[in-house]
Amino acid sequence: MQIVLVILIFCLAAGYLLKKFIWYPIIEMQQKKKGKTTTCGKNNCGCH
Amino acid sequence: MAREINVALIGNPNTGKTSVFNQLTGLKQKVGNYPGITVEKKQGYCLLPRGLKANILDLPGTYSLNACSMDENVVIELLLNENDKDFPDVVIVVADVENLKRNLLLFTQIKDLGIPTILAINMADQMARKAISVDIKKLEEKLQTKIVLISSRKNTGFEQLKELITNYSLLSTTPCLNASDIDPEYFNRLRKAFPNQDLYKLWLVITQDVNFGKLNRQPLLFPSDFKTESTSNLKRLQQKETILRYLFINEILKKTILIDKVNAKDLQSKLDKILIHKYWGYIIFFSILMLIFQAIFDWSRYPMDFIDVQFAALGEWIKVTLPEGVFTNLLAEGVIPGLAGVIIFIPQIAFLFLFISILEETGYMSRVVFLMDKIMRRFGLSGKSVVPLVSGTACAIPAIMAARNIESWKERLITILVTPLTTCSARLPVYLIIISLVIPDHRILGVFSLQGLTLMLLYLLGFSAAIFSAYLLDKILLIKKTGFFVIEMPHYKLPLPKNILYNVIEKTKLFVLGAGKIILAISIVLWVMASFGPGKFNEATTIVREKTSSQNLSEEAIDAEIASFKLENSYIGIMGKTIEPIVRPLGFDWKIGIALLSSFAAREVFVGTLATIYSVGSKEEETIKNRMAAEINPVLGTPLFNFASGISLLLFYAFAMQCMSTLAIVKQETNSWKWPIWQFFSLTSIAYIASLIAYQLLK
Amino acid sequence: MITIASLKVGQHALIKEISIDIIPLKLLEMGCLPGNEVFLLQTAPFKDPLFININGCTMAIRKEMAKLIEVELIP
Repeated sequence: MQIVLVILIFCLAAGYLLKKFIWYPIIEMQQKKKGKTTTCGKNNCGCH
Repeated sequence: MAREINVALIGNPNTGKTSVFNQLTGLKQKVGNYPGITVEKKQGYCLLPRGLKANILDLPGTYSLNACSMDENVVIELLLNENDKDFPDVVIVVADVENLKRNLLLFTQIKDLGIPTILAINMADQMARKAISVDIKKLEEKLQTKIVLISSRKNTGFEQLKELITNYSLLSTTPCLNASDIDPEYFNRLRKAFPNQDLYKLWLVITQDVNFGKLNRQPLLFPSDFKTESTSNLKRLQQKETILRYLFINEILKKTILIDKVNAKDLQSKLDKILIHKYWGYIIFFSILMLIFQAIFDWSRYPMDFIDVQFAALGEWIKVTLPEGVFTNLLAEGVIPGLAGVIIFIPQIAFLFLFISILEETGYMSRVVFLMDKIMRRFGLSGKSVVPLVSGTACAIPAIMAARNIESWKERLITILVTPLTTCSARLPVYLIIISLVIPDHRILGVFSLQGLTLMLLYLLGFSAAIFSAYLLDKILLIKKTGFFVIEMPHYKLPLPKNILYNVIEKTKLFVLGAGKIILAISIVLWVMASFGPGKFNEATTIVREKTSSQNLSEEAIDAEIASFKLENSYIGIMGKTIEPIVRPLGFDWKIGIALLSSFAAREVFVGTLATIYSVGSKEEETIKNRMAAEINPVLGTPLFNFASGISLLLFYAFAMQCMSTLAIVKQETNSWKWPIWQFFSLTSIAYIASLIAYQLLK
Repeated sequence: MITIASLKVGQHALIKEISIDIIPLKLLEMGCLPGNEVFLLQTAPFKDPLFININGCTMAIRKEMAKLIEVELIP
């Protein structure tokens, strides 16, 4: 029983990290290749 | 039954707009982000007379509706978009009594958009001292609006303000300037091409492209026979508009404001003579910095110890109270320490931001920027980089966000990239334990402790590395220098406690939420990886008992051996052993390797991980220290933690970009993964090389 | 050409023509308009940045910008 909880929490934590550091960047790289969708100021578009 | 209206607070920077917002909303406010951009969205609400509820939006300070930065763009975007759910029913322009002339420029522009506008003149309590008197009735007449004198300091005028807001429908919406006066011929053509549009609004939409960026709306479709003006002509017309507005304002103010220059008291310039003096200015600044750091060190120790003890107790309690098992262990040994790792830094961070807020509120910070700008520019930074760099000694996360007010993208980017090099609070526990292990406890000249000096050197190293990297980056990065530097030098004033409090709470929240989630998640993952393992791991007890059956060890000692064996064969232990060849040239072994890996959660986790590795039950520094001192380097047979490996470890921590939370923030603030990835690889490589050289030279 | 950068501390001057192509609109909006008064309050070492009072408002700008604003001295 306890081990189930542990696995659950582990998946949540690992999933969160994967999503944040691996999934999102990949999506953004793809978006950038297709062309910018967000509006921004000129200037190298660092969006400041 | 309450009706709701939208109220927008707009005004120049430094008018005390935030204080007004705080007074109106109290603690009923929340801070978020505008989608897709790094501008803060501050919202709150306030209950008005007669059952009306006001949703108040505190917009970024701006000098006019002609935006030249993302911040200012937010203001005009909102005002031109009637369909925005935050579009105001009434705008309060907060002006300050000393710069009324300039404040009114923005006021007249907003009024000309046809939105009901109230003028709130703040700092009214200063009027007598500055010998300024205003004919309110006449001013109201000329500007066709309602005016209220308020003082956020003395908390006066707010009831009147709320009344005015409630009666917003009575406000006149006649424009101050006839838009066609800017250029009759051009505007005539505009009117013919777009018969149904408000002229001034149209004009603002057209000029936005010239100013900063394309608005979030459909591009304007000019009829095919319309001769559009060139950019430079449009700029010329904008200039004309500004001149016309000022003419209008000057005329009015001449008749309504009286400044008795003779009687005005002037402490300001006397203060400035000293505070930005060529020598005294710098001496005073650095002394203040030293005082601040000293105070932070001393004061935060007590709450930090307290938090440490409480969380340790909580962990124990969980272990004892909850049914025995893996999950309980996860909570007690993974989650609780993970949370503790975040919470324990709150005192240090809060104190630092307390001081920085005070400096900002008094107006002194702009003097610091003034003093430091030229020097900073030599290194590719801006005077405004001072706040991020100093804040970085608490935590890089709010520090990096503080770089938003740097106008030049290149200077801002460089600031963001080098700030993590300053010695943040999390590095401190690591530094302290290594120093106490490898640096002798001597005193030089009877006064300066060698250990204290080493710590100071490490801090200096952090700053120097930041400055030097900035210099290199300035030469390497091929980005155009843009933006024009201006900093308002407001009059000195006593800080308002409420503002400071809200500011500290906000900044601390940034750290807790920004770092907290990531640290907690990584702590959980690391704990699991350290508590489970393949093969040999699961037979730990049997193997160890066999191995030690000949030695006469106590139960405790055997348990410790088992724990150590388990760690060595857990998933993370395997990872540590895999990278051992890489870290051995730095003087580390696989155990330190594990600690390095776990530091990616949070640097301070290093100490806790070492405690586990050396199977020490409690977290008492003495015990860990003794245990570490006894560790033998398997290859050389000499103590593992000696001077060489100690220095090597210190250098590694000084440079390596281990904080995942910081990487996340860099990504957010630069809007791209390119920079944090690049930052990670270069800083970690530098750390490796520095460690390598140090160890090989010193061993 | 006498510019803000050539002022001595305490000197007052009137702003002459502004070239909009070089001077940012923002500076104009802060009061840097032809005919307005400006005076130099203090300078940082190396005369950069300059702490000035334009049209009643106190601010600091870098020397490179100050060099672009032409003024005429008021005796």
